[in-house]
Amino acid sequence: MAARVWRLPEIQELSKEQERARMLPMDGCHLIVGGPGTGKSVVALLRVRRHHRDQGGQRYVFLAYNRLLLEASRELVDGAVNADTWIRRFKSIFRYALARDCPVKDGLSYAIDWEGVNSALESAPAELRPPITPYIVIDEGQDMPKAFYKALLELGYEHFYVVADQNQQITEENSSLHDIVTSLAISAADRVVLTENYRNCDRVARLALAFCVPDPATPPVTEPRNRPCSTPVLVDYGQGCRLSFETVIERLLKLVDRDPERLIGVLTPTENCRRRWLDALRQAVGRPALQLDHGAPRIVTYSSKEPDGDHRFSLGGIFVINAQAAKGLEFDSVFLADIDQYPCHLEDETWMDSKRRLFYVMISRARDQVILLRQAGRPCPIEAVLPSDEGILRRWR
Amino acid sequence: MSEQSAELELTSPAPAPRRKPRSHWLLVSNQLNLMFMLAAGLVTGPRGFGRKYYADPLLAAPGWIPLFAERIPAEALDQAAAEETYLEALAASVDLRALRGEVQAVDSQGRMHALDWPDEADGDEQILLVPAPLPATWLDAILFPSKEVCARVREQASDYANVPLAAYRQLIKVGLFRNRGGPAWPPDVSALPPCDHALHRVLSVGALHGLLAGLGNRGDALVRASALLADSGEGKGTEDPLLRAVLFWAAGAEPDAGAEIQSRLLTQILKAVVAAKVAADDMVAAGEPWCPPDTHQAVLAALETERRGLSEPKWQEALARLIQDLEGLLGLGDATVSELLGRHARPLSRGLILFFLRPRCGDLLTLAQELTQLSEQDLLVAAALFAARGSWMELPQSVRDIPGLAAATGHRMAAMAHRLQHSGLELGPAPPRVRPLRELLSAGDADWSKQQREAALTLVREMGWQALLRTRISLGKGDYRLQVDGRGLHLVLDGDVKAVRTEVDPARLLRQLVSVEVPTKLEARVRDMLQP
Repeated sequence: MAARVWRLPEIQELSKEQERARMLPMDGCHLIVGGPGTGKSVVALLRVRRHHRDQGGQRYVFLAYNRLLLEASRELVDGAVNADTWIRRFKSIFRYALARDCPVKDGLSYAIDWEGVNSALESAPAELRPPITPYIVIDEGQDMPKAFYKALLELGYEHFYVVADQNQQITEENSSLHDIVTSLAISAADRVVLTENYRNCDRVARLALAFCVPDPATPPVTEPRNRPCSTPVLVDYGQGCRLSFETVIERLLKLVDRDPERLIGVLTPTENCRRRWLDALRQAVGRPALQLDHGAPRIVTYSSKEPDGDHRFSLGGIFVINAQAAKGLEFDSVFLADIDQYPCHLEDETWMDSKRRLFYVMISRARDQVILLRQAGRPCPIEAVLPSDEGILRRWR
Repeated sequence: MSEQSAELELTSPAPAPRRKPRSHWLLVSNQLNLMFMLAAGLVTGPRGFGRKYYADPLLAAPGWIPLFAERIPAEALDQAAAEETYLEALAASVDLRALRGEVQAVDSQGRMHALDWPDEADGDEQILLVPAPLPATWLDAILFPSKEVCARVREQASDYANVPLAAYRQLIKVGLFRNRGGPAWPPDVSALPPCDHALHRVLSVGALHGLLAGLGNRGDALVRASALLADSGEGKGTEDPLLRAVLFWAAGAEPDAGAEIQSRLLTQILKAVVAAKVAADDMVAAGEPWCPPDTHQAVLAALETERRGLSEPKWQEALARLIQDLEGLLGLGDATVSELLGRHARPLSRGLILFFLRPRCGDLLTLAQELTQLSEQDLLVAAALFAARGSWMELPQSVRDIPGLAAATGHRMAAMAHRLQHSGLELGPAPPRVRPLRELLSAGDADWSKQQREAALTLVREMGWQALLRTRISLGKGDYRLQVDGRGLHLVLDGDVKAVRTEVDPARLLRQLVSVEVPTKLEARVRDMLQP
């Protein structure tokens, strides 16, 4: 996902490696690899813009991983994009080419039966209908399965621009970078690695790195040398602390009031926690004692059980969301609420790695500011993976 | 030795007729460097590009701009496109008619020598090496080797927000790129002193020109600040200590020895912010990885140093409170903007609050419209701070597009760079400064001229500011008939009546301009109407 607010870049803002990705030819298969905030999606959107400028949405499609990311991407370019979720578009491509429905597992519309797809393609006539949109731009390409790429090639697609990061895989069915390269036969000259982190300011990137689980297939993450900012803070609130829960809520509201275009993500560990923070924020804005310059801010939420509602990322406000749903999104500030409620299995290294990855993804959603919050007087099992270096994470009671 | 040969040796040869120096020269680069220079408003040496410089002929003598007379050596074209496969070698025609001063020249024999341009030029110069920077508005045309390359570069330029390629003539010159030859390249420049400089300071002052032009409708003090910055240099002609501090900084001069604390502190902060940017560039030049400057910390450190040096406890406490509130803006501060502005009334404190609230120059223009409690002095200080942190390149399109601003600012930035470098180069008279609409529509105590009246009417009508209009119907003595019909009431006058005049209320118009941004195209049209 690209920056939450899209604007055309200034020439001094694009790095040489981003220029390399931008200048790749329109035809052929290309892979852009990079960690969170390296500007993968910026170059993908520049490519989309170029396609769109030439012929509108006639010849290309931009594929996003899920509906939330699709909405966010559409918003970035004011809707001037032919975009879809990858599953829905694949099913439609399949139906167009083979004049039959795409096979799914157990009748679940979102679970494509790749074996069935493969069989259908093997028995398909040699001459399939040519693709309507021969150019495909794919965001978060690591989250689509290898069979998806293979099937698209079989369906006659030849021009791919895939941006991916193996460190951010969140699905069971996914592709390694090697899978994408071999499936699409992408030559070394058509691969660009983005190493500089442009989203996170330096201290945020440094904290995220403290949770990074190294992966040999992913390019090395460079030492964060980005926009300077304040060191992230772990704030204890409640009894015996300088801040109560109410004061934290009030300061959060004042933070967004000082810059109403700012988007603050409050990422919660559980559904109950999400409701608690959402309710507290909504109630606080109604209190007469709280004087805000801009009145009540936009306070919105999203959960897979309630997928509808206001999810506009280009507007400021406070977005209360469960940790698992934060993938691919971007906020100016991120509050990791009630981190004491994350469970930990210290003896299970795989489990601990999954928790580290979750914290890596959550922290790297922030552009400028990360604040971790926990309730005083409660056990905090996740403390075991928090950095103890005050230069990386300050502690404040 | 024969008589004849002795005579030949003893007789000095007749001087070759001196040819008029060439006015237009060729700059060779690639499309990305060239677009960067258009965005920066300056033709610069490699250091002016920060960390985004692609090797090209500028590398031959860093800080000296190589310009070719008519034929471009193949090696120079190859050098321009060597770093990346997607680079295209391009040229630009540079108009040097206004240039005066010492440059280096390579003649047709390949000899390099210094000469006082244009007086000592004899027309035999094949390459000129001119100390950087030059105003980008001296680029007379961009020259492409083919239509295809031209189309590709245009498309690439449209991916950027700040590359004004369309403002330049674009010509296809196939022969220029095909008929290779010309002087040997690169020349031997071992005797040339290095003169490659970072441009942060001049680009910051360029941003200040732009911000003051953008804020100029806010009030007369800002109009005056803009005029003094553009025309008078070092703060002569003003007693306002903060404005003097800003002008001293912009001119690269040392502040008044006895300056009061606010202006002294402002000067120190402005210097600290630019120094942080230069230090970041120096690291890149020394082969270190890029690490952007932490301008907030630079400001906080400057404030803390000043606080410790203060003798009066009450001033120390006041500065400590300001530092605490600024730090709160970087974290979970306890105040809204109104509360902060209520706590801090001085222009320096308020300027700093704005500086910590928002990151970019364009944000200041928005804040200036939203926060009507800000004074012109608050905005002046804020403009200087935002400009010191920012650059001409990051100004919003609405400001960069103000007619005449790019030319006026580019020239002043280049001239300032040469003053600071003591290069001795003169760039000729600067284009006139850009006057804000407020100034153009001010008439002092007199009435508006006909031009002003018509321009104001156009502006008010196009903006839909009906409340600012009044219609005067002047009728002489006589008998008038009133008719009422289904369409309303009619005053019927005999003959051809020219008594209806729609007017704009000048005072209300100037008040309206304070808080509303005029669309760029309309502003250009109104300015056009106000041309003398």
